[in-house]
Amino acid sequence: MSPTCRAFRLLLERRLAGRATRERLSDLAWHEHLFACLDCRALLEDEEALESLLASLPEPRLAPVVRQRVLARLRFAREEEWLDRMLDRAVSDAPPANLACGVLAGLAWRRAEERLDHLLDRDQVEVPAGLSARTLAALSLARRPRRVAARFVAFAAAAAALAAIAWIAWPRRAETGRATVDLAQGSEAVVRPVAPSAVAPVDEDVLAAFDVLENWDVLVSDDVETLLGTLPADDAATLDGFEEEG
Amino acid sequence: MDTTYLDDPGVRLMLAWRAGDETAFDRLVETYSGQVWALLTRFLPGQAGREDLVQEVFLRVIRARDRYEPTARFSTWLYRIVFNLAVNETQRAGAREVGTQGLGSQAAELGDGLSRMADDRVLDPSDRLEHDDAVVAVRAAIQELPEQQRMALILAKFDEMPYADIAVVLGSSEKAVKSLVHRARENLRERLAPFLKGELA
Repeated sequence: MSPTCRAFRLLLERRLAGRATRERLSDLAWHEHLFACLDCRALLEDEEALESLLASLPEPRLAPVVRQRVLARLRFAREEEWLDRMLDRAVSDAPPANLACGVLAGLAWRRAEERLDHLLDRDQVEVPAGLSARTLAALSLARRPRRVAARFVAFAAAAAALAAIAWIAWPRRAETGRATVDLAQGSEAVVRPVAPSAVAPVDEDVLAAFDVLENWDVLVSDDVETLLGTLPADDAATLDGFEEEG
Repeated sequence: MDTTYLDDPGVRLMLAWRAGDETAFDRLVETYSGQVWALLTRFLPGQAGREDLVQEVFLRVIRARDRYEPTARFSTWLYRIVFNLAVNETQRAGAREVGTQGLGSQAAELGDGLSRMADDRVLDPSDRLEHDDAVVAVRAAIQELPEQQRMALILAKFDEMPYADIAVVLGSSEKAVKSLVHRARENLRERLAPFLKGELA
């Protein structure tokens, strides 16, 4: 191949590399090299014809209905993929970045309630690992009415117990003054029975108060106070601030 | 992050989607699914299940969401997925063909019939022009080209993609792409010689 042939073919190649059209190639037909070189002329003609043939191929068009079908299937696939990623993140216990604050707060509230039930049901007093300040605050809020109720019951029980003791102690002291013990009859000390009619009937409410007193330990051993005592200083401060707000 | 391609509309959509804008993905599909379809149709003319392939391309985009980096124009990155997928499909189709031949001609006819039925689902008006002899011959000649030559020629001729970008798609060099296109045209000129004479006449 002569240098002029090489130069022409290089030129042709450049035309083909760009936005080649038959018209752009036809311009080369007037190149002076072609008046002397039949091979290069034949090559140019073939390339022009090939351009025409390639240009005759119909443009493939994606039907809108197919596009919609693909989009719909991809939406489903994306939902599946999103769910997978959320589950992966849930396993790693990291909150998803795009969850709204409201959703997170709702989740924290629900989790707090479940934690509270769990603690109260099982008398579990240690602070579960991973409880956030927000969760503790929610726990505190959920716990408050129960704490108030527990203190009220304890106070009422104490008052009822005192009343009951006073009620029972008064007639017994009077009866003791009248009772006689026959020491001469041996070691068996016989206390003369008190006539039922001489003792006032015991009030059911008073008995109930005694039941309460029997459970006094439970009432005073407040899980909540124990729990609060075991909290880290930061969380306790958060709770204090929350309770003051409340 | 490489900021060279941040002006590319596809890159912008991809980054927006990665940042959480879910509508950006739909726009990506709407913008690029036609090009993916066209490229697949040219690379695998008459191939059944191109719709599934388009879907698979974008499924791979979905899977690549978190690790996507704009190191090229979006279409270049996307076409690389298309090329890999199309080559795999060609090899699978080749394996299927061998298997079908083993089952006998009756099964082969049935397979062809099913393929035609599957393709009829997505047949667009341009496909129906296949009866034109020249079109059929050109498509057949393109399909007979080796995969890299075929993709290089299609991207250069129909997508007017620069050789540097084609090199990224093929995982090759610009010089190699130039050579691939040159040899592809040479092969086409040989195979389509009778039609070229007719065209010239």
